[in-house]
Amino acid sequence: MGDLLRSTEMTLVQFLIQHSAVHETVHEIGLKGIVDFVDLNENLSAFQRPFINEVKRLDLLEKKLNFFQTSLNEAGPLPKQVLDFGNKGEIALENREEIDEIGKENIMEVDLDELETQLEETENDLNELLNNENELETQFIHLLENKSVAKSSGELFHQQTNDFFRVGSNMDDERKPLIEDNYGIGLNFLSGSIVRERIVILERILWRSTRGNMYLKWNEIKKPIKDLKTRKFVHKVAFVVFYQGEKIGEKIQKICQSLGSHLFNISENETEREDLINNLTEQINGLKVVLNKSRSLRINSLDRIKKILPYWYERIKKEKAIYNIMNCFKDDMSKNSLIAQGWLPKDQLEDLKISLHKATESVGSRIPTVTEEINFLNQNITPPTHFRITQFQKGFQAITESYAIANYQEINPSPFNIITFPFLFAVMFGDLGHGLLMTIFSLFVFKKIDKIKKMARKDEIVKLLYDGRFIILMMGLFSMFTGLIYNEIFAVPMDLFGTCWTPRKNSTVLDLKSKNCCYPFGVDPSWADTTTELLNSNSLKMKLSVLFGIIQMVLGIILSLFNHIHFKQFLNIWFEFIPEILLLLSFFGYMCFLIIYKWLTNWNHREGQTGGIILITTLINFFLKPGTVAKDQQIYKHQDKVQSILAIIFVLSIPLMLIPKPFILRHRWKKKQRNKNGYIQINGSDDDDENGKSNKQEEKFEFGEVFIHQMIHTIEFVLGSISNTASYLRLWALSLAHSQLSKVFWQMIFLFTLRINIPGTVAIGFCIWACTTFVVLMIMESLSAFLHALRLHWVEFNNKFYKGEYAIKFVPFNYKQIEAEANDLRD
Amino acid sequence: MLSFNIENGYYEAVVRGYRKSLLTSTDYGNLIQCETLDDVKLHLTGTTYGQFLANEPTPLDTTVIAEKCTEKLVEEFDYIHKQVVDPLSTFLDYITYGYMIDNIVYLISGTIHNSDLKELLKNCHPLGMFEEIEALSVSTNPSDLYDSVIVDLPLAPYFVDCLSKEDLNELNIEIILNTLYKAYLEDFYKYCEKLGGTTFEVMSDLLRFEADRRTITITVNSFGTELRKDDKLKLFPTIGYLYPDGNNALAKAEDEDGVRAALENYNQYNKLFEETELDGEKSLEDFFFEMEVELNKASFERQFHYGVFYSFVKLKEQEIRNIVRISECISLDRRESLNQYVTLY
Repeated sequence: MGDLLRSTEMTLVQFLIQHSAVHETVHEIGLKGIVDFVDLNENLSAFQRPFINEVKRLDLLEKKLNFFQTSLNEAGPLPKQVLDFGNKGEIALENREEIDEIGKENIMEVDLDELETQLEETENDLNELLNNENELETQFIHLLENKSVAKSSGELFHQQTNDFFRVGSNMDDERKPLIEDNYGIGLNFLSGSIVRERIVILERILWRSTRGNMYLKWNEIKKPIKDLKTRKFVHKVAFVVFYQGEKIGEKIQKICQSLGSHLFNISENETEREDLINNLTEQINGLKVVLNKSRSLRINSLDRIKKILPYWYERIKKEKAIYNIMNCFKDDMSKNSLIAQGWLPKDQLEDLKISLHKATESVGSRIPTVTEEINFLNQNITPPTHFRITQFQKGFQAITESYAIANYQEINPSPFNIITFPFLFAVMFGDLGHGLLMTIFSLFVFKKIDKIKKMARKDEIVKLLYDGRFIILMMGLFSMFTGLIYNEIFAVPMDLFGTCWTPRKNSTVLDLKSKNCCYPFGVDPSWADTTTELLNSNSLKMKLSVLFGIIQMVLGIILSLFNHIHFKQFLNIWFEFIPEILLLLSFFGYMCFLIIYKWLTNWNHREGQTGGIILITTLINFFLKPGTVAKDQQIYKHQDKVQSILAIIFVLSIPLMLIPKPFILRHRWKKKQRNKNGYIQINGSDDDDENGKSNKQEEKFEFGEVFIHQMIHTIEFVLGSISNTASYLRLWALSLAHSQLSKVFWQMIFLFTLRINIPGTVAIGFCIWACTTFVVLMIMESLSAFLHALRLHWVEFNNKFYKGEYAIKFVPFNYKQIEAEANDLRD
Repeated sequence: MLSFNIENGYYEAVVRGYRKSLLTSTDYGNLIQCETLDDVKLHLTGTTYGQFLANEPTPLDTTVIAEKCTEKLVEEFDYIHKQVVDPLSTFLDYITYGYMIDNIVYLISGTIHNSDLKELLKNCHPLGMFEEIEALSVSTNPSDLYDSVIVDLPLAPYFVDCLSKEDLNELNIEIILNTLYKAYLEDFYKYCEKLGGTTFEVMSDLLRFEADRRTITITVNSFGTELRKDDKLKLFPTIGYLYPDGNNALAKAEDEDGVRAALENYNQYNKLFEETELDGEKSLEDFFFEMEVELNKASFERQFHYGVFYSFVKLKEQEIRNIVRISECISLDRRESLNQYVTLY
């Protein structure tokens, strides 16, 4: 727990690195991942930094990789075995082996210049292939379009002549053709293809600009045609425009072209058209073979790229990360070395030195890297907070950090949360059956951990599951425990040890078996069917939740004591910790004492007791009638005296918390001020300016502000002690809700169907019961219990001691993220 | 006003969010320090233009920067335009009409100079695109133009006045442009008047300024042309602050002194002219840009009106102009004129 309780001790190290060794040094440190570099060039904008050119160059290389990736994506899933002609397949296999030879090591080690040429070559090759293919495809599509237009214009001509023929024979028909007079004489036509959506526009514009002196027919081309620019398939139509006269023809041609249609020269004669179609089909078939060949070439080359791409990515990203870190370094005065600063855990200083040595050795530099620890204590710098945590602690640490990151060396609540969090959750979620389900679920997560880890990178909800797997396991186990205490499995009690009660004959009243009989563990199962069950469990759970609450809050206050001792704030011990603990214990602690005392007393043996003792009245009278206790309410001897002393302590601790601290602070400040003035007078005005400047911030002491702060703190604590205690009653409320809900589901749904006595209903009833249990209890209830447990820790527990105000998280420079991404690509 | 937010609240919020992303004076300060266009890109990557420029190959060109920045404007505008309902959608339509006019005129004049259609289309503003735009290049006279293409456009009524023109030459195209613009501004003004409320208050300011700017620019550009007074008067929008007295006076003006005399009674403009005289570096246009920016910024100070959408487009346009101007200065290595941009925020 040592490392988790307080954050690791950090030290600020300044490096003086030779220019030649910088890259290697950063790389070695990145491998270790122990240093969080400080940006020394904060005031420089991105393009004024020393290594911006390298970063730009790497950006270019990365763009190349992106280009490969997009061409890979465009190609879709690559076929495993390239169906091919002759020995292509073998070549592909050879390529594969070649990559294995090149291997990961090689790419990681190879010189950046060489890598650049490698990438460039690959890019050029790929581009050439793509261009070739594009050209071929353009031709291919053009031919295809031509063929389809030829085919459908044939149909259109056919229709057209029919139309004319029909119209010609029925001259009376109202549908007079537009070009009736001249049909067959000097009638010209143009045919082409256009995107389906635009045919309407084309028709409209043609009609307008020729004043109706044209006739357009169109026919949809069945197969969608690929648009090379957008690489999408579009539907096109083939059209034929009939018109008359040369001039109009030119205009129509212009309009057609400007609207992006392709015009084809197609003969009117049917046999010529047939010839054309045959010819085109032949050409298309020929081209198809060539196109396939070039496509498989491209796929082969992509296949090779696909294998090697993740390694390239990793290398380039790492280089970029290194240069980005190097951009945080400053030039030394002498210009042959760079200055860097970084935080690292104190106990890893030796590790760092080893890496530095390794780095200088590998570049053959004579001059070693000089490191120097900087004393940061008196400078106004906060060291970063760093916890060394295991997988198990990770989830709990995350809960704490989403509230606030701990201040440097402050006590961290998460080690306590490991027990208290699942426990408070389980108090609200106590049921053996539900706890068991939750445990089984988390064990399932553990079994499929590899798969879930992979999914977690893409899906945020799965990530929550992955990160919280230990929390869920702990919550499940604790719920089973509290379920045993509550003696409930899916709201049904279990008689494990033999109940102490026997029913009286012909009556619902229960009798105790023997005088000293006691159910050894948890609640006696006989309670479940009694009419007083709710009263009993309410009283029990309410008192328990207050007890837990007070215990947790006292723990919080005690932790604040350790913080005060660690940071040597002794003033806070006397005037914050002591009044706080007195205030809480004198009243709420006393309440806990009364609860336990009442439990431990056997009231059957007490003499002279007429009614029950009501703790609420006792506690109200603690303040309203201090020093007096009603005769019949007396719990123990001298109760009145004890209570009056406690009441005095309670009241006195409030001014103790409020008043002395600000005054003492003011006194100290004045004393310091007086000393300093004396010092300056003696020493003359030499350091005057400097001192004056550096101390200006400390010098300001606003008594009013400090006092108001203390007042706020006091009021917050006094009110908080009441409201926080009340807040813990949510444990009772949620636990009650949970047990009642599960009881209702069990009795009203499942038992109800049993009673109906119709075959089959039991199965249905079971299904409904199982579903409601799963949805309402396992999902909704567990989430709400989680939420309330979270709140109790964040608000009620943390505000007693946890500051987490100006903390910076320790983010060491390492390759973990990059490696994980590269691994993703590889899969 | 009460029900404004039901339909438009979200979009107003979005557009105000967009406004927040406009470059600030610190950004410009950084931009003018850049050595090369790559540095400009590097800096812009840190702004909302980031993803638009990120994947451009590095030997960057000013036109590419302009194109990508415009692309961003268009994307933002379209995002809103596609979702809103009437009357805001009509209002946004009106904003695009201005660009449509520009595109039409640009294409026509390009066609008479026999420029390549594809090149021309590439240079058109994407906000003013419409499906039939390519067919514009076929027509050779205004009535033909009207019959074949423009009759389908929302701009058709504006074009009616231009039908009398015989053929398409430089002067006539200029006249067509201004006639269209005049009709457009007046129509837009009328629409805003119909919307009423704060929208009209804000928009009337902006549109009147726009009208005056056109009036003054036409006057200055018409020095030494054969346009007669009546012709000019026909081109001047009739909604500006200058209407009617100023318009009349300006129509008579034949040189700069005449213009100054005509503008004497208009506080906001006579100052403009004096300053142009004093400061040789800045042109009349720049001063108008500055005024425009001020007006558009002011429109963001009021709430529950459509003017913010118009203003945002105008401000963003100005920003793009700034970026392009700075990039041009950098690529041509004319450091001395780097400071000629209009700071927005």
